[in-house]
Amino acid sequence: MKKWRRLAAWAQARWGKLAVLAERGARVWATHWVLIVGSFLVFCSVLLKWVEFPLSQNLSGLQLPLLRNVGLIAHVYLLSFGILGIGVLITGLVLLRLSGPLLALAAAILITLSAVVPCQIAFQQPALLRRLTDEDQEVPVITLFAKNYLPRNLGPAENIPKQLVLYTAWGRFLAACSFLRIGWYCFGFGSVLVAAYSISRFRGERMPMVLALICLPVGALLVLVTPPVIGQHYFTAASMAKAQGDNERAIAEYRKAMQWDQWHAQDIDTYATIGELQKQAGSAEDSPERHIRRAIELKQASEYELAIFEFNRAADGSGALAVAAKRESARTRADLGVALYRVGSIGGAVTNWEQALGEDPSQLYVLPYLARGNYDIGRYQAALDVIARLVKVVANHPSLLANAYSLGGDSYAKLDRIADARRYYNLAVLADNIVNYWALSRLAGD
Amino acid sequence: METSSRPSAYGQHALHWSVALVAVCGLLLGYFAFRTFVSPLPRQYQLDFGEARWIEPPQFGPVAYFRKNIFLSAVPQQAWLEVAATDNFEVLVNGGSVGHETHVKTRVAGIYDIKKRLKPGTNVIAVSISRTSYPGSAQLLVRGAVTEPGGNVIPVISDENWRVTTKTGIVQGSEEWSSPRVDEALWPNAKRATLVEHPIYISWVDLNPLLLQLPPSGNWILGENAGRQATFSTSVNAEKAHQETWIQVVGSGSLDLLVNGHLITPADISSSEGDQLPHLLLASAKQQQNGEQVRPANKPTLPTTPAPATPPPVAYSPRSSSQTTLAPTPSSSGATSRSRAHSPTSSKSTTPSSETRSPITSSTAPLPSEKVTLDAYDISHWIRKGPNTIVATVRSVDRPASLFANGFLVRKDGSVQRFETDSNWQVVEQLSAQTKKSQRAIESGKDGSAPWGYLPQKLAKPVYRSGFYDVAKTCAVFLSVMIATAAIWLAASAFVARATGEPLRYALFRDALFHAPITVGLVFLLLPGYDLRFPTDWSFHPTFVVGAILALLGVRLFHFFPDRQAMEEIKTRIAGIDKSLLPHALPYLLLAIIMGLGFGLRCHDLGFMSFDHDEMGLISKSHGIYKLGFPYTVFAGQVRPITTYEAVPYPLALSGLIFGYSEWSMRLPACLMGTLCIGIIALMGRRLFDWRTGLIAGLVYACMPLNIRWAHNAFYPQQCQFMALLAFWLFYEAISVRPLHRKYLTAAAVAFCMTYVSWEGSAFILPALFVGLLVVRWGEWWWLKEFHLYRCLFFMAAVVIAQYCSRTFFSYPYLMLGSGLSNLAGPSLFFLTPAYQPLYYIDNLWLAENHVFFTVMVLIGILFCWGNRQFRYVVAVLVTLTICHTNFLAALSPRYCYYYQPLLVLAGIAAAVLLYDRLISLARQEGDSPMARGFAHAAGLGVIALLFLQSNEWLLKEYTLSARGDEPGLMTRMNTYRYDYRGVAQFVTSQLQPGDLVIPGIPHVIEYYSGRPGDYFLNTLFASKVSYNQTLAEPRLSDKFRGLPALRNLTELQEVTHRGGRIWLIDAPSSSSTRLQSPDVAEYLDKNSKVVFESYRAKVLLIQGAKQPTAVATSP
Repeated sequence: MKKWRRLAAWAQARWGKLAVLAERGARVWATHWVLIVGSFLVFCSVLLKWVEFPLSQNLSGLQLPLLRNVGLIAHVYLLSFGILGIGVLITGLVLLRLSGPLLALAAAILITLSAVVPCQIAFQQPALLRRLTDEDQEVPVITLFAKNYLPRNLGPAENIPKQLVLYTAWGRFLAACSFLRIGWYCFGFGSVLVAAYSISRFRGERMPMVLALICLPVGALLVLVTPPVIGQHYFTAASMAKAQGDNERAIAEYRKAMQWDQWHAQDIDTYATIGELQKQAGSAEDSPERHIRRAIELKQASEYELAIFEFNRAADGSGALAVAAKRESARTRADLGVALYRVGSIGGAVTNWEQALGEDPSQLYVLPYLARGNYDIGRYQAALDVIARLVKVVANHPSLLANAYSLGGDSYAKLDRIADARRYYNLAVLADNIVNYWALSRLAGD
Repeated sequence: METSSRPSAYGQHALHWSVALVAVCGLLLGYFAFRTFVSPLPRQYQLDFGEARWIEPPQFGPVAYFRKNIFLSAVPQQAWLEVAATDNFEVLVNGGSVGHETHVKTRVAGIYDIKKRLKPGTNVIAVSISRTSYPGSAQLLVRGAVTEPGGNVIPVISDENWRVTTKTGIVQGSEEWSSPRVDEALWPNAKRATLVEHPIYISWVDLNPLLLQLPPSGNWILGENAGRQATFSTSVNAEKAHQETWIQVVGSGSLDLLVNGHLITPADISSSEGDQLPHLLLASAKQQQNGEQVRPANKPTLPTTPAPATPPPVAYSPRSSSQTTLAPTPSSSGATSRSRAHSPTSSKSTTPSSETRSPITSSTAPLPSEKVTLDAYDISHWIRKGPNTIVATVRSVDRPASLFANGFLVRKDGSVQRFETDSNWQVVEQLSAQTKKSQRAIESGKDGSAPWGYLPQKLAKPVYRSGFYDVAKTCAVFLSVMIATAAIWLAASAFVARATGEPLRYALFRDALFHAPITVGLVFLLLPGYDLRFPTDWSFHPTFVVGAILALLGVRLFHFFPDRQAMEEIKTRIAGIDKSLLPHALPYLLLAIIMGLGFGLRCHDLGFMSFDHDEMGLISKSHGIYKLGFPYTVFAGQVRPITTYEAVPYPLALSGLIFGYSEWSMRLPACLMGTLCIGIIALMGRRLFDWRTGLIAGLVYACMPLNIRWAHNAFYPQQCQFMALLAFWLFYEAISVRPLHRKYLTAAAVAFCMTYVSWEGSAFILPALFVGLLVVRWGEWWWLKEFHLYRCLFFMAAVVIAQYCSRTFFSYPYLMLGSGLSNLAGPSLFFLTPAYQPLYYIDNLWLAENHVFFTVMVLIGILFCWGNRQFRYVVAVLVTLTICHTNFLAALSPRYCYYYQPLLVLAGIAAAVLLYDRLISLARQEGDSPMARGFAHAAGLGVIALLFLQSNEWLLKEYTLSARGDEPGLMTRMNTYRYDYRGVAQFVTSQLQPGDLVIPGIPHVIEYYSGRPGDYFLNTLFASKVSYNQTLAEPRLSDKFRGLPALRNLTELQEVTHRGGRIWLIDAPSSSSTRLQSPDVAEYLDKNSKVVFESYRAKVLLIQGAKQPTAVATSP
């Protein structure tokens, strides 16, 4: 009995202390809940998805670099938006006791960082935006390839690519925003909450503080947006000149647009347009732009090898034009591979896909084709190697992943490694457990 | 009417409120000005069907296939077709699709150019209609004309001479029903339709019919030197600015069109037609899209230079050819659309493709066709009064740059002034790098001349180019209108204050109040734009803008006519009436009337629709209550208690015991609970806010289609909503006092448990109520010491755990294959998965068509009445539930948010009523003049009327006022049928002969209606769950409802069909039943079955067995 009484007394004392702690915590919560929620959102956001790639692996805040281009496989960068955001917030929180405005400054930097992300993607890293939009266009084609050439999987519902307008700066900004996801939203909302908290703590006239908070992100945006806006102006002028039949002026305006906006400088179609205008004007006989124009004509006519030759001639030089021409050359090789595959020349297709990947490793959408091609010609180990690479890339996309594992299962089965094959089929079912007819039928021994 | 209980507190912000009212009015007026004068919406047109008559099948049929043969002696030079139909239609000409439209509960319309589909000889115009609204059959209205080269016009009018059938199985052989080779002899004639609506509203179309109906005109023109680049120009006189003007253009190469210096077409010089990956798929897709025959390739060949039959290949196709944007083909073959991101210099087309049977070995290499179309642009927006310059530059590679164009301006009297390409156009040719030459154009041929022949016409959209410029222009318009509105407000108030000698702030407040009814009126004007019976630009007419401005100016006269005496008299009389109506009893009387109305609406047509599969699942389990006292099914000789929706079968069993089992009796509990929900919402509104809020919310809920439809359904949502509402209300009653009210808390816990056992997904109520407690008791933590709270929590936890255990214990995942919702065991981190859709419930609840204005009011309310504790509670619970469902429930369905949907209605109404009070308070601050009070009342009542009108479809049908456009869920509109299991089951029963086999899509529903169990269950992709039945003589997988043997693949299906006899395959619901079969089975069914009956989302397929021929499919 005594034991029970003592236990009850102890529990009561603890309960009392707990209540006191709860009361204290409650007061802290009631006073600082905006800061707590805001900070929580910012901290959590860096682990969540910031940029969603339609095909390859998605990026979290820790994986989205501030200055450099994103790699093919997601990595954590020291100078990423996420790490910078955490650093700024922690600094602001630590210095909160010293000075309220420092937290406001930290909040302003956080808001600036979140506002900069879409501009960074749209205007500073056109290669990233191009990869995103290319993948967006390619995924339905890969699905179609899978439906046509692989054992039937129900797969995902219709995958309709976005209708993006990429020839205006505003359109590219919207396109960049369309790939942003929950992590970025949480980061932005958390930053605003932290800013609201810092303003509410500020005693006296708040308007200068609010203005200062607004000026930093707005200033950063202005810096980022100005060049593409000027580029947009020249591009529109070029289009107008072209519509009026003034080829020389149109070429000059296109070149100005390319100087101001990297997107146009890396756009193969702009060069092709210039090449066509040069041709119509009878000028610049052997210019790279005319080679590109010619290459595109050949590509339209399915003369892929000649098109690749022309692209390579255009890529002889250096600078943005050469980069664009090389990229397009690799794309054309990938196209040639698909065309060859379709008519049964699978060995040639595989060679071209491998070359395409060698020339431009960002052509990741070739991997599913290459895996299948290797399997078809009996290079099962090579197929498995490609699949190993593919599963890393498409880790976030269940139906593509399931297809990759199913094909891996088939390859292992051909190599008589039944246990591995079963493991891959199981992985396929796990990856896409809604309907995975391919792997299910193989597992069932069909 | 009651007014605010805290008027004095509102007064502190009177100036803020005045500014806000003026700003909102200015903003809205700015939007009207912007849409009317700066950036008008595209025009829409009402089609004229002339002498055509609505026709329908001779017997009732929601699905119908109409066709009409026409004979042509030559390829037509012009052919157009106007079509209107109930709910949806697809038009096919000679088997190729030319267009389709879908809008549920709307008579949809379209106009099409069909000349490229017609050929000399017999041609078939066919229209399929699948109606989902009732009552009535599928109905069709057609008018068209075909003009042969000699000028002979063949009219096409819907009348009794059209043929119609309600099932495609009427066709013998393997021909498609729309094929010219089908013999129509057995097809019945259509009959004149019985129309119950007066007047008949037909939806509007985007294309001016004159483009297709005016006789063709224009010439191909080119320069004297036939250069590869030429710039053509002309001038067109307009009577006024923005005069309605259309132009149709096509060039022999890439084309840029300028109208008064504005670029209309995209710059397309490096058009990458065919530059898609993989190219080969593109080609086949195009052929499919064109409805043309695909050339089968016997031997695979690497495609080289495209070789279109006509015209000869060109490197640069006209702009029109690369601007096609295709919707995904709604075929079951899994065709996928693919559209490139738009680029100014390469607008790449889409790549849908059909599946090929043997993809690697038997590839098809169809020829890419060059689609040269005459693109029509509405250029009214860029037209100025007087001469207008039209410039077109054509660049070609291997042929002379030539242009063809025609167009017209619509005069004030409705007549048209035409213009076209001819020798009067100027042309500037680029002869070399430096030299250009201007001269008159040369005519090279009329429309129809080689190489393209008569060009198909299609609507094109002018390109959106100057993004930042448009944003700046938009901001400028809005800002200038807002500033003007505010300036007038300040100036008028100052003038009135000086003239009347009253304080300036009184004049400011009163003048601001004058803006309120005008703002509400402008919002009212916006509504018809979302009703398909009106054109989208109906709201943006200069008359309305001018009227609003005049009203805004004229309303100031009321400053000088404050007839206080008369108003006081009216006020006294109203007070007298209030007293005579026994104010205490009046709200209850009104509530009774509203509940009576709601009950009437819910009782109407209660048994009209057949049970759906979800309802039947619960109904069949409710039989177990009579035997063992709990709902269960028997599978493989074992009793399997229900593991979800546990509480739902009990009311069904009670109703069945009293009234017997029928559609009516089974839905009666849902109907009663739906009616009781009206009362709960009203009383909850009254307790949280006041009687006005409660009664208005009750009325809105009573008339809202979504709520009426769910009250017509015996599935769980209505019961779950009823219990959930009780939990929300009782919990608030418990926490609104200190200390917590124990009885209410206990009652709330019981209500939660009942909600949970009605549907376990409602467990999210717990965190939502916790958040509700936090926001109601903000900064207070004494409730943590309330021991009764923990008792209730323990009780609820016990119920939740017990349910989870029973679910785990009684469901048999062992030896069960396939997927189903029962895979969901509980909450999960759904937001980390690729299937995550963060906006799903935003689209399906917050921005669904009848909810949009409630959402707007809630958002406005958050700004000004967050301090109201009750409002905060409702909004916090609503938002928390939305967040939880979005992020932690790994399945998405609109019905999952149904149980908390009334909170959105209640919060929206509460915000509107609080806004009303604020306006009254503002009037009081003004000096309480009757004039200002009158305006405040007018605005407040206007807002409430607005909310009521948009919440149902009695007056306005706001079908497009939704984030998803006109894409309703199955339960969001009145009189739309779900699945007609009853119809298909009765048909099969009437046709059955000895030896026939039945394969039902949903076995238990078909058994209920046909009185006969099915024979097999087709499930080749394991899209639904099947269990292993070890008790059979030959153990095998069986369906989980009736234990029918499952056919798992084509071999097993063929084994059944080869036994002889006839096999009736009931494809219901038809949207998924056959689609979820393996591709080889789907193909087998496509080849070997005929559709012999069709109804709402259900059809019956007949597979002929090996022995017996049948006549069923060939007789009408």
